Amino acid sequence: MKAFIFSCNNVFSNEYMSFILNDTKAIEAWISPITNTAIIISKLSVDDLSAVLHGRMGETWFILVEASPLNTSGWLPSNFWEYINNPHSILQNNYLSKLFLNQQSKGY
Amino acid sequence: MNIKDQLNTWGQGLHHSADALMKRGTAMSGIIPTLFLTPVFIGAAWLFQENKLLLWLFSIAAIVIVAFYLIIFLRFAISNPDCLQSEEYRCEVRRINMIAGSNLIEPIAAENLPLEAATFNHVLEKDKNDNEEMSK
Repeated sequence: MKAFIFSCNNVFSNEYMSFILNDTKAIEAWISPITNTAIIISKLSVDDLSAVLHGRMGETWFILVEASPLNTSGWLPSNFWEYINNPHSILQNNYLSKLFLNQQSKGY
Repeated sequence: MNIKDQLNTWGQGLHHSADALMKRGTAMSGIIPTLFLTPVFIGAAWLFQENKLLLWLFSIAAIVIVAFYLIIFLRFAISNPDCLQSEEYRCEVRRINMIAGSNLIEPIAAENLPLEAATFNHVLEKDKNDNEEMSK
């Protein structure tokens, strides 16, 4: 399981970008804490995942890079670093999913 | 109040409202200046009311400008209402960090999630520190 940083042009609405990322089995999980940018977890290689995304996004420009804990830094809530540092645990523990579901059940 | 003062007052009022509309910085700002032509055409129609052809021509031009504005406004209102909000409001909305994710039906404002504080990637930082210690 690998983590990728995906960033695309802002030609799509957030809703459509969510639809594209949700509508493929190639992506196991994703999170977008930055506009038009997502951290994606996938079993595929960067080439294969690029091909899948290109197939869905057509001629829209995007960039995809494999992110490892040792080549990625920035300024994010530490919950989100888990997507890059430990993608397996994100899928196994579903920590953030539970977090989201709890908030949704509270009516946010 | 004579007619000159009255026209002056109307002009100032019109200028003030157009200024306020344009400063809001909505998607409509670009076509607001064309609305200035409406009172000009109405005035021209009134001036040339003896000539039926010019009267109709100026009246239709005034109506077309207002209709054009309303059609564009309605299109934005239906397809993308956010464009009609002021620039200040849209910038304010963008300042809020929104989180979207594979388990979310719709994005949630970061402030509504019990997220931990923002940090650098601690794994990378730890690795850097380890390497520095090794080199010593």
